[in-house]
Amino acid sequence: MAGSNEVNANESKRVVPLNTWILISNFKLAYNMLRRPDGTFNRDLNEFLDRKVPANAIPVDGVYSFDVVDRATSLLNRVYMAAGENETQWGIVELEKPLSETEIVPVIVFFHGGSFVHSSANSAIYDTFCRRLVSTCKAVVVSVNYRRSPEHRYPCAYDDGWAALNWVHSRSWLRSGKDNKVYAYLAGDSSGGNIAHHVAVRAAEENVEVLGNILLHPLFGGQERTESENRLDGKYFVKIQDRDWYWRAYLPEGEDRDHPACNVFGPRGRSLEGLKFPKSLVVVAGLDLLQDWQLGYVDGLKKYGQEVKLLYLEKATIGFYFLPNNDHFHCLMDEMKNFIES
Amino acid sequence: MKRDHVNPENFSSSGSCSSSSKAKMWSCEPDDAGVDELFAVLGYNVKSSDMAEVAQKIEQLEEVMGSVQQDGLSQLASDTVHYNPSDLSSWLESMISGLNTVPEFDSSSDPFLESSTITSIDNSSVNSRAAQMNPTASPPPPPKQLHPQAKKLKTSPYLGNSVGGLPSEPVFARPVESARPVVLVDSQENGVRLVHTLMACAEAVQQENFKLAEALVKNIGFLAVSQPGAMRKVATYFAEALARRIYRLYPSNPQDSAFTDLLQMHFYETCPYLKFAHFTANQAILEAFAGKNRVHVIDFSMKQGMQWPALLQALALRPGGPPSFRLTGIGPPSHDDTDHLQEVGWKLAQLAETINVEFEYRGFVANSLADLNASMFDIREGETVAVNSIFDLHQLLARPGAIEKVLQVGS
Repeated sequence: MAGSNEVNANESKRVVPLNTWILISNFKLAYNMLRRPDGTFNRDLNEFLDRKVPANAIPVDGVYSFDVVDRATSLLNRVYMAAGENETQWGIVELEKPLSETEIVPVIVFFHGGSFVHSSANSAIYDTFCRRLVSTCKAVVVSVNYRRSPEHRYPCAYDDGWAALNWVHSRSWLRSGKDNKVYAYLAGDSSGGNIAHHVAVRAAEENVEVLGNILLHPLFGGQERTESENRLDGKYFVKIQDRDWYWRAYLPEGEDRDHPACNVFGPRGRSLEGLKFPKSLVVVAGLDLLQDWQLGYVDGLKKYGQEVKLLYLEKATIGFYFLPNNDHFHCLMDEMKNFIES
Repeated sequence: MKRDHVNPENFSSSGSCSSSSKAKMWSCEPDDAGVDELFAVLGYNVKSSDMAEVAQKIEQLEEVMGSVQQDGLSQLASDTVHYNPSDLSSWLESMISGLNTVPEFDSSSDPFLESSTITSIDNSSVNSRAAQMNPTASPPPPPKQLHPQAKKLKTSPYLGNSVGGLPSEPVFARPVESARPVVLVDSQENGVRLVHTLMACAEAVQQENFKLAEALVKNIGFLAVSQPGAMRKVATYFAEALARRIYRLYPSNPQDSAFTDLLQMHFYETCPYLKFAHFTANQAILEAFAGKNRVHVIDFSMKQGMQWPALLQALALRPGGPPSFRLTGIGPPSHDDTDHLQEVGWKLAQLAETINVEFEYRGFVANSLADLNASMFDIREGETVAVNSIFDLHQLLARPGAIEKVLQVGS
C-alpha cells in the first residue's frame, strides 16, 4: 500500500508544477482527515483549515468585491466587479445604476467546487479564481455560497443556485447594454459544474434566460465503474472511494449513484429534448478519473441537439486552474473569454 | 532573466502560448528570502525556498496516513491541536508527529495523548531545519521537558539536507509517573539529531537569531552526552563554541608565551591541519606571485613564522629565479622582554641568505588585528602584496566590527 502511494505521488508530481502539486496534495490529505467513515464530517475543522479571505471593496489588480445577503433566502453571494478608472469612487459601491448603458457586461453566476462539501464563496482559492474571471472575461462574477452537504443534502444546493440566478436577474444594477437586461451565464467547477447544469435545466423549464454554461470538470457519476475511473483511481489526487463518500453525503439517504442528480443522462436521467438549454462549454481534464462521465455528458447534450463545446485538456489534473502557472490555465481563460464574447 | 533558472521538470508542458510565458516568468521569480506569491494569494504562507521541503513533508504525511486506519485518522484530526494552517510547513509537521503517536496508543485510555501530541510538536518544531517558529504557536517549554518526556520520538527527517531515507523507527519511552523523565537510549537517532541540531544552531547564530540558537544549544548539551567517544567530544566543543558566540563569552588573551610557543611547536608537528593550511596558503601565494619580481607578504599570524621557510624555498627554486621578498610579520606583544618578532625575522633572514633570496623583514606588534591600519605597512610601488591570515580572524569576532575593519585594511 505504501509502495503504491509512492508511485502515485511520483506520477502526479511529474505532470503538474510543484506549487500545484503541493496545493492539491495538501487538500487531499486534509480532506482525508475530515471525512469520517460513518459519513459524518468534521465541519468545524474543515472551516478552520480552509483559507478564507474577506471581501474587499478597494480594488486589487483592478477587481473589487463585496458580499450581499439576500434576506428572502438568507443566501450569501459575493459579487466581484472590475474597478472603474475613477479612484475617488473606489470603496463606494454604486448599486443603483446599471453596469453600463452601452456595453454588454456579462454576469457570471459562479458555483464553487468542493464536492458539495468543502469550500465557500470566501475560500481564498475561489476568491482568487473569481477575480481572475472578472479580469479575463470582463464580466461581473457572482459567487454563490450554497448550502453544503452532509448537513444539507440534495436538493439544497440546486435550490440555492436557482435562488441566486433569480436574484441576479432581478438586480437592476446588474443590467447592461442597450437592451438594459442581465446577461447571465452559469459557471462552476466540480460540484459547482453539476449545480450549474441542474440550475440551467430548471431555468430552461421555467423560461429564465441563461446565455451559457461553463462546466469545469463537473461532478457527474453513476453506479457503473467506468474505464477512466478504474484506470486513474488514486493516480492523480483522487480515489474512487472518496468520490463515493461525497455522493453518499449529498444524495438522499438510501439513494445510489444513478440518482438523476448524479447520473444526469443515465437510466433515471431527464431528457433535454426540445428544451431551450443554454450553449455549454465543458472542460475535461485528461487526468481526471471522472472524465468518462463528463464526456458522456457532452455526448448526451449533443444527442439532445444542444449546443456544446468540449475543451479536453489531455495532461491536466483536477484543480489546474487554481494557479496560473501552467498552460492549461491560460488555455482555459482564453476559451472562456471566447465563449462568453461570442 | 530568471527563466533559465527554472527547473524544467517543474513545468508540465512546453508552452508556446506567448501569454503564458509572461505569467511563468512572474511565477518563477524566486524570492528565496520570501513567501511564494502564488501561495500567498491562496492564503498559504510557504517560503519559496521551502517548497521542496514542504513537498517532501506531504509525501511523508501521506505515507504515514496510509498506515493508519480511517477511524484513527479522523480521531487524530480532532485531537490534534492545529496551530496555523497557513504555515503549511509546520502544519504538516504537526500532523506527521501526531500521526506517529497514533498507532502505539490506545487512544481512549491514555491521559498523556493530548500532551504527547503537543510535546512532539514542540520537539519537531524546535528541531526543524527551517526553524521559523511561529511565535504564537509554540508554548515555550523548559528545555529539559522537551527531551526525555517525549513519548514518541520520531526523528522527523530533516528535509532539504542530507539524510533522505531515515528509517522511521519510533522510539518509545513512556514515563511511569508524570514527573519521572526517562532517558533516551537509541543513540543512532540521537546522533543524527545531534548533528542536525548543531547545524541548525550554527545557522541560527549566523542569522543572528539568538533566541532560537539559545534554545537549540541547550538541546545540544543533552544530545551530546548521549553519544559515545569522539562524537561526544567534538559535539561538546562545538556546543561550547556556539554557546560562547551566543552568550558573547569571549576568552581573554591567553597565557605565558614561552609555554604557548612550545605548545605551538608540538601542535604543528603532531597535527596536520596547521601544516596543511600553511601549505595551501603558500600555494596560493606562489601562484599570485608568479612572474612578479618584488613581493611583499603581510602575515597576520606571524607566531613562529613556521609557514615561511617553505615559501622561501619554493620561491628560490622557481624558474626565473626568486623575487625580492619582503615580509611584515604581525603578532601580539610579548610577555617577557624579548623581541619575539624580531627573533623570528632574524632566523628567516638567515635562511633566506643561504638560499639566495633577497629578504627584508619588519615586525609589528599589535594587541588585536583590528588595531591595524593600512598606512602602517609601507606598501611600496611596484610590489605585489599578499595578506596571510591563518586561523586568526575568528578571534576578532569578540569585537563587533573588527572583522570588517580588518578586511577593509586588507583590501
